[in-house]
Amino acid sequence: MKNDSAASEVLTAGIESVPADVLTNTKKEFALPEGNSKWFFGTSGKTTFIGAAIFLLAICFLDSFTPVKVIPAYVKHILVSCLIYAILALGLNFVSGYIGQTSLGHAAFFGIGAYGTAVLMKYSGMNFWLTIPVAACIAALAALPLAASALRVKGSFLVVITYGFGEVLRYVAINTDSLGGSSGIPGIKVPTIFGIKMSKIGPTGKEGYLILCFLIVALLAFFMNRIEKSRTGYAFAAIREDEIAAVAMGIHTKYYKILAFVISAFICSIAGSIQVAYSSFVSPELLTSTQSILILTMVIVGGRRSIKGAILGAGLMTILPEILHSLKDAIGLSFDPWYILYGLILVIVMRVRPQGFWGNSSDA
Amino acid sequence: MDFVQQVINGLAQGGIYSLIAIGWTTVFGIVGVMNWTHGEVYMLGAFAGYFLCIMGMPFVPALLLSMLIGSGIAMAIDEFGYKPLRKKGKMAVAGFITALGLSTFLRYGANAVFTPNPRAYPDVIDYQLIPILTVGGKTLTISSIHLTILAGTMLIMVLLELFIRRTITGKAMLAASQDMQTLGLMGANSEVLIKVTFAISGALGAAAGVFVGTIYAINPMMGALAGLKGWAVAILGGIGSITGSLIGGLILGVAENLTAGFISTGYKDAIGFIIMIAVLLIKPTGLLGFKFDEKV
Amino acid sequence: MKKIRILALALAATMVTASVTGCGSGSSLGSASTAAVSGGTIKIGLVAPLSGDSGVMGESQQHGYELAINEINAAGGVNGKKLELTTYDDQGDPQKAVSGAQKFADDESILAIGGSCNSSATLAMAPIIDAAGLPDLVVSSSSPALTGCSDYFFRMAVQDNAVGPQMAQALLDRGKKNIVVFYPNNDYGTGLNTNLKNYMEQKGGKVLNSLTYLATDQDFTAQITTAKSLNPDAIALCGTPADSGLIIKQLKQNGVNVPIIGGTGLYNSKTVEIAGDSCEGIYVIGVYVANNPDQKVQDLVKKFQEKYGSVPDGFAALAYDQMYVIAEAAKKAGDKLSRDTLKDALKETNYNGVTGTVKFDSNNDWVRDYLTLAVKGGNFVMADK
Repeated sequence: MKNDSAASEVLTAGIESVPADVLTNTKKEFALPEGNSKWFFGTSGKTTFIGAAIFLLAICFLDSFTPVKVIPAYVKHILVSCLIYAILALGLNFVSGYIGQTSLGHAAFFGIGAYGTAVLMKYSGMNFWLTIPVAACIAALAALPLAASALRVKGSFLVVITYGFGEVLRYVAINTDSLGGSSGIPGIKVPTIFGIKMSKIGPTGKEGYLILCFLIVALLAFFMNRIEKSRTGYAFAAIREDEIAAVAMGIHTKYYKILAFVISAFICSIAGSIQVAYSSFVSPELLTSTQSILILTMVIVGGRRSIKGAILGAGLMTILPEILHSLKDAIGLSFDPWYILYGLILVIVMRVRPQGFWGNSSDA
Repeated sequence: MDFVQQVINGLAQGGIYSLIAIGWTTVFGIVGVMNWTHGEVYMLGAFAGYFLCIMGMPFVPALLLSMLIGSGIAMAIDEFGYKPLRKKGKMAVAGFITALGLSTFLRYGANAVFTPNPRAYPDVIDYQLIPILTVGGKTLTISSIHLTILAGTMLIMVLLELFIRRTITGKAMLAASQDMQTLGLMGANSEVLIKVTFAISGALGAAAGVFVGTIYAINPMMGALAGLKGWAVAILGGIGSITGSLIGGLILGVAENLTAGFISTGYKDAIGFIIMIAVLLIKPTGLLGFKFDEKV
Repeated sequence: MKKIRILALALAATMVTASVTGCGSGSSLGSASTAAVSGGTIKIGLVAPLSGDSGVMGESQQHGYELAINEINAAGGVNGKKLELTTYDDQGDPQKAVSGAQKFADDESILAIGGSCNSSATLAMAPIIDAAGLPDLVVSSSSPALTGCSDYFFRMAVQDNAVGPQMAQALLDRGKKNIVVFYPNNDYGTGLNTNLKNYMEQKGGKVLNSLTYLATDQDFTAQITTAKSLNPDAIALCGTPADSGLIIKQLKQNGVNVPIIGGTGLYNSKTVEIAGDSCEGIYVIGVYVANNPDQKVQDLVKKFQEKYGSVPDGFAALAYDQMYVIAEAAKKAGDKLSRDTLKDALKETNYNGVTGTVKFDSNNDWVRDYLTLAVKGGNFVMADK
């Protein structure tokens, strides 16, 4: 059942109710990705980056200059979480945004990066910074079979394959003793950079990670902005909008689909490596479907193929539960309302703004 | 002998998976949406049956009433979740995310209302271990409860097949699964058909929940894994085919028991996913299903 | 649609501001490390799974805490100050447990926390509470890796290296030498199984097979079929009521009628509810027993039943004692009450509670005896020799 909105409107609604501009509107409906050149309230990307960087450094190091702690370590912890999820959302964006294939298994790549780093650091004493690309390459390799299946099946069926992929990896993690089984691997050493331990940078030890994640997110945003306007980006758009036409035009769709999966896995793996370094342990909870669903909803609620959407969506979904938690005590609820509200948010957002807050209306 | 016993156990358990799978397959086939809330309807049906049995209702009326409640919940989910999106023609991704959202809402809502404690049904079915065959000192057995459930499942499926093949509504559903739009042009009321589909799916899901409740225990999280396994079975059997779901369920039950018995108990639940992935890659239409084209 | 975008961004900005200023309501400028008690309350935090698969354990602990707090407050509080509990649901996820620990660590008005339940979550929290000097007590988390992990960490949880041997000894005492063990694939089950097996084999017994399962499993016929064919003298269970209750029921259904013994996790009325009549006669190791005629125990059981509708399980009873332990230590610290003085006072604990006399050793572990119980008439009683 093809969901061809224009055609079905004609068939079922009768001639009188055809929107007047349906034939001349093609440009707007199938426009190429706008490219997020307008970031915050119309400012350019560069200005946003500098502004955000200053803001971040202020948050990080303010406490070194004031006699009393102004910014709680908890807030910084949440910010690190936001940024790690932003990296994940940006990574997933390649598959669920650019080429338009919903994936419910990306926590698997997050997990491969995390376990990869943990195992390499623990059993072979590899330097953390080296484990990042190594684990990412493993993740990219793991993405190949998944990408291959994306070539064979589409839509709902691909969703279940990705889900199954994530779950199977989780079972492997739980059942393998050398991966720590269900308790995971604790006690991963804190990495050092230029001879200084990451946990010694800044007043709470989290600043190093904040800066690292911020730089990665900024780099990704820049890189993705570039891709959107490049030949690859246009190929992605073509595949997403109308795959058959893309093939007819000679675009090597198989290559681009695999590319999207591989890049996406690489990025998510980096997030996993950082997560392990930050929390000093890895556990199978990183691989759960709840995690995959969370990342997907960040992309969708934020807006598919929107870089801004991915980052802000990640931020929203990370901060909201924490606020709700504080609220819960204030109201006196006996249970944590986050997941209940989360479900409702998804339903409401899909009703009111299906393309996500920062998505393009053609995606609705 | 152990091998055969594991197979028998598997066949017995498979019946439940089949019931859940039918709920998935009918909705996906006819409405075209992956009804991620099916696991929660199953869970709510189980809880409904629990409270009815606790209040003293005998088993069969409790089962029937739970099925009715399940139908109602499924229809409500369609009315408030999917229908508004259908009207706007935005079913694909938005429909799926809505399903995820509703599923999360129901699951954690149930957790808050019912508390995470597992509960056991009061003893409602008489239990016996029925010997089948004795070979060389070892006896093959099957439990009477499993047998009852297998029989119940088959009965439901026969009734369903009759409904689909003999009644007008049923035939309309079959036609709808092939081409909803043309059916609309032919004068059938697609909205009513969709509601009927959800009603059937909800009733069967709830029935499965009640059966599981009588044998095992219930808790608010039970819909998660069961729902997914049901989907795996639906895919294995072939989307749109009820007989396929039956066969698929039995196969999964046997595969799980054999995996747990001879390979590793830790991977028992994983085998369902592995089978599902294998089927999708080798023959996406499953054992007995027919072709679908869906973009999410 | 631009309005919606601006609205959303404004909302996001408000939230960030709210988090920065609102969270950690006690950590306002200036109050810092000296003012540890805000107003007339002493705040205790609880990081535990209150939903999800481990939700039952967290809930038990919360109930035990709440009951104790109500009693203590009704009796005048601690040096005139009331106790207040604040909870954080970590859903069994170590990452969330870390968030919760960090949040409570930042809140200067919180003097001690309980948490978490799963060893992996507790281990993840350890560096946070250590760095913040926040005393953390647990009633579950049996991993040996936690011993001495922090000066601020106090363990009143059962220890696998004591329960396992006691289970094995109870079986050997009754002449059962060849056994099969069922254990869930998590650190609790694995730890208990290892300790049980080592002790058993040391004393001349034999573990024919250790069969594992996932804690969320409901059907165990596959494992039971394997167990049955091994013909053991007895079965040992290392899980919790949700899984073990079903195992007990299914064992009997499949015609396995040998004696069964369970770890402390099984001491719960849910086990009896789920297993039904098959539970009759099974052995369980417990931290206390509800029919203990001691007045303290009877009071607790009665009040708990009134408020929550069930007999307290091991976690609830331990949590109840734990809150009293915290209160006693706070009383001892008196006017100089702070996280550090509380920690010092906790080390000196000598409290006679429902679950025994609480004393911490040099590693801040409570080493204690356990009871061997049996199920008679649907209730737990002391087992006959």
